[in-house]
Amino acid sequence: MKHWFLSLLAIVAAFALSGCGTYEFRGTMLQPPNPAPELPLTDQFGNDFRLSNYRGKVVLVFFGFTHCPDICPTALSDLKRVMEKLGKDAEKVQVVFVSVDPERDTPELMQRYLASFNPTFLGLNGDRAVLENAYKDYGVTVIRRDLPNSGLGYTIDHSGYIYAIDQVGNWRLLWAHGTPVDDIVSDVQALLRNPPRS
Amino acid sequence: MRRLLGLLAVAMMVVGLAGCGASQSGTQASGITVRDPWVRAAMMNMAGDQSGAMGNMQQGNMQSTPMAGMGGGHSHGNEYGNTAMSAAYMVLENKGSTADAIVKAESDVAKTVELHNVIMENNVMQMRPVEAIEVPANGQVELKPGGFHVMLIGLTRDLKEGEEVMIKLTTRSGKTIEVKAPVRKP
Ligand SMILES: [Cu+2]
Repeated sequence: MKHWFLSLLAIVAAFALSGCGTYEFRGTMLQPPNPAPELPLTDQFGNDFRLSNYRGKVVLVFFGFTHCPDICPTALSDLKRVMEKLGKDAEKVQVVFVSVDPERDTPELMQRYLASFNPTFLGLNGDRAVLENAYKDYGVTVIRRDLPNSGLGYTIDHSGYIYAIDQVGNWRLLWAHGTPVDDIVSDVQALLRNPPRS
Repeated sequence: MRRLLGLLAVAMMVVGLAGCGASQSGTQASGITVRDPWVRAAMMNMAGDQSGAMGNMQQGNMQSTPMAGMGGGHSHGNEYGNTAMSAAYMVLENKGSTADAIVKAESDVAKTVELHNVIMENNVMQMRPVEAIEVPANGQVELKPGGFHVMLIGLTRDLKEGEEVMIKLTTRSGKTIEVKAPVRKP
């Protein structure tokens, strides 16, 4: 009897460890996973960025702008904490910030802004047409609103999702703004544990 | 001995009073008082801040020159182009029996200080200036990321962790509240 119980326990443990599809993602899964649209943009150091250069890594994408001192920093500091909590696994993750305000997000502003969170974060900018495509591809709402009575001049209303692209370049998950850091960490760890084949 | 004790008592009172004076919310008789204020750390320029991370393209032209090395022909040098900003948060408490509101905020760390709110609709964030932040009678309002905040536009200096920022709030009832807010990391 005891023997029987122990073997059952072993089976259950093995099943849990194998993680064969039993993990339930906390973010919203995109099904079926499709190739993530390319982001042919330029980073804050002037280097060309291509998602295709990040095969083997999990890429976390957030759309925002530097003149957004309220919400955007919250998302970025969440991502900063995600990277800290991932520890060594953070090497297998790239965080990317895509500008929704190409006029004001100059390279020097992006450098300054992102460095205050994590020097490995990349800030992408580029031609308006290319950016507009990226917004459309990722379903990001970007609306410029003039604020004539504000020192800001204008602001950009934008979606607050964080997107996860897996090691083979498939768009797998999205997290709504305010998703707990631990949930994101757990989902990223699951993606890293079971890299998709192909 | 008794005199010594008396002196000690006076000294303690002075220390006690000084302590009050140094605390963050000069609760000057307005129904509204301030609790747990803080300001998000922000840098105006990159000097000394991770400058090792910044390639070779920007040397010597951090502030105003057009960007070199960027691909597209998007515009720059817009008048807001290099404005550093931050935001201040706190809890506004109204212990009075009449509603009041914050109608104005001032600080010497920014060229413009505004009252803002963020509205979230279908996960789209919309930041808007507001005329006032209402604080109901016997109620409180929390200024926090993703909601009401005091927006600091055009910083006049770096806001580094551990520093303090003075913010002056004006209530609709005509009172002013001096707030000393510590700077915290994002
Ligand atoms: Cu604001």
